Amino acid sequence: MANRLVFPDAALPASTEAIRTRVRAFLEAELANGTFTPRADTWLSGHDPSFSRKLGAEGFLGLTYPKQYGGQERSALDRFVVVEELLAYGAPIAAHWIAERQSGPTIIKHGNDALREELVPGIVRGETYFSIGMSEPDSGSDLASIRSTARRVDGGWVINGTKVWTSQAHNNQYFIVLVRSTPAAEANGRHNGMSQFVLDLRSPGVQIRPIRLLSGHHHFNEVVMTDVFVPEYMMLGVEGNGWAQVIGELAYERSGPERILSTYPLLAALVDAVGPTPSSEASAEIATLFGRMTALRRLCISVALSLDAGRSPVTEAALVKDLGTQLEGEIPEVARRLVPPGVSERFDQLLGDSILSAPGFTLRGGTNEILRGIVARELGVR
Amino acid sequence: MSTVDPLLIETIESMFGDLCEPEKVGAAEGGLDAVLWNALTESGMSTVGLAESIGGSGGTLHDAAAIAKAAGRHCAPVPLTELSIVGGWVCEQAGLQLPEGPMAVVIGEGARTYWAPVATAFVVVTDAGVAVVSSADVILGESGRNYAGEPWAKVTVSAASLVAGPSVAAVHGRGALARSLLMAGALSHAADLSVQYCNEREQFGKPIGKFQVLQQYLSQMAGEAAAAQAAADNAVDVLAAGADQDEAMRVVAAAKTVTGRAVGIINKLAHQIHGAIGYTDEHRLQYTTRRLWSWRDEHGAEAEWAAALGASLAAAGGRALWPAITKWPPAAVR
Repeated sequence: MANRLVFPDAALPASTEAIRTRVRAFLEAELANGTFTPRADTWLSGHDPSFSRKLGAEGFLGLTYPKQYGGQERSALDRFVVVEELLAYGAPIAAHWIAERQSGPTIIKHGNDALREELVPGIVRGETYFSIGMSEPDSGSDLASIRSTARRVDGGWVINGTKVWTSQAHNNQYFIVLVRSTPAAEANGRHNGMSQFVLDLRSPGVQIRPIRLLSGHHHFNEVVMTDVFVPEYMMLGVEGNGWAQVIGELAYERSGPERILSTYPLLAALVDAVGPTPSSEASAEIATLFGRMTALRRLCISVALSLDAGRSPVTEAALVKDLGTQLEGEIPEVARRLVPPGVSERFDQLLGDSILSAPGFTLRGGTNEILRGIVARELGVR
Repeated sequence: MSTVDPLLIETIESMFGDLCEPEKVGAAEGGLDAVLWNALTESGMSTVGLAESIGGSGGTLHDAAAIAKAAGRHCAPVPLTELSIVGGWVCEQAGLQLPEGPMAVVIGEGARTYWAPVATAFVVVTDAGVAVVSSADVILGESGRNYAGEPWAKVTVSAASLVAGPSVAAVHGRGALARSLLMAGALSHAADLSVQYCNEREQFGKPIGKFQVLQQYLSQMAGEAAAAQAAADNAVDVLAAGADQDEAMRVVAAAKTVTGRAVGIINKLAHQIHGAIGYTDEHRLQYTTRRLWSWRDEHGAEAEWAAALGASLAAAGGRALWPAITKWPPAAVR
């Protein structure tokens, strides 16, 4: 058979039920206290340090990290369950999101002991926040064309260049930058000569400028780095190996429940907005979204199980992200067809947030067109 | 246990691979392929998943589902799932022995009974109970074929002694499960054929798979096929874990809705990729796509199942939605 994509069985271990019960009870209590109001797309937009610290104190962050750095060494599936509950409840989780999802694991994998001890416990406590420093003004889908540079100096490196679409850089303390440590002309191939560094966004020489979205919201930034000094110990992994390190992160970045659930709070609100006895057409539209969500969640779990088993389901993750982000965008389209404006303030707000953030769903983390190219290659198109 | 023995898959793949060549599939239209039916019966493959106590081969619903998906993938021109997933299950639930021969399931009065013209055994399902009868006890009325040439007829039952068994609604759901599984298999086959064609067919001096727009189509098809398969697999997992009637209805409704929806997307793209040759009767793609167009309408189209599922979700309210989503697939007990 031509199809080489593999989605093995997808049952979460029964052991995850305990933490699901605990996080759900926590979220219900917080909702009842009015700590947060459910919103859409909260992993990008809901920056709330006090909520993140609360999650840290409850032991919901860094579940998979080594105990040595404050983690609990639990399975990635326990984390999957915690994360999907937070997303489904529309809780404000943007502050710690990138740090906990990928910066922490990257530092644990590629950082040296000093760096791990300095930064990882703060991530687990929900106090230390990271942004992503990959894209540049002229490098989006073609990431290998980045031009930011690192030049070796006494005791470390000096970094120059500009990063864009840097979510929450104005609120976070660090980002991990991918830069050229060997000029492109001297590197042996365009994927060589790149390195990753942890860069303190409060360093001298860092300028952070807002890039406002069409919604008027300020999540993204342009980060200009002018002769920014980074001490040697903040380099991640091996000099020149940055590309491989970045690619290794992608399966984690692309397959998570955040790629199907960004507008879930709107779907739940839609069910209430149409009332207990909607028309059969409205029922059918809602059920179609529900059916697709349950199917895609199964694929998501399957990818999480593969990752947990030590495989690298990069293509499967790309496929799930393509499908999931399309579903995220269709939820507001259906919602607006079924419910006129003005029925409920909460519904209107969730709908507005979802409509205005929808263009980003199929762009961030690799455009769907790029992802489909990856899938097609794996399907065996020559 | 949800793991299916790889040997079972290998055996059934090889049987279908040998006996479902496109010419045979085409020649069987209007009836069934007797050679394939006999092979499935003699090997016991047609009753995998049914209890040995009623004359089945034993095994699990997961085993039967794997065989059903393979049947869909290979366009097997036999009423396999009428026995293995639908009628045989009714017999099992009612404690009736499995009859010999091709089976059709008469669900309520006046409905189309799929495969009735070639069946020798009929499982009759009514609001008052169920029965197994032979062709001598039924009268075939209006008849026809689906788009793929699979026959149906309306059936009047002249004599039957009813025993307690599954409800009309439950058996209708079982039929929807069977079609979902067949579609899951056939959808992945349509996607696979399209990949193959993109590598073989050359235009402008290169394989058409070099064109990005076709790569995008192939990826979309793989995605929709994977989602359809996941929806069908969810249904199998939930039913195998012993769902109650409402939960069974919901998960089957989701499976039929998602697989049926995928047919519209995948068939369109598969034919677009295959160009004019793909919609001639000499190309084998049509055996798959005509079945898919038929199966999505049988045992309830998406509109019917989605409306029922949506009504159930709306009645339960928004707060019950997330717990409903996270119930599937059931957690694995370790």
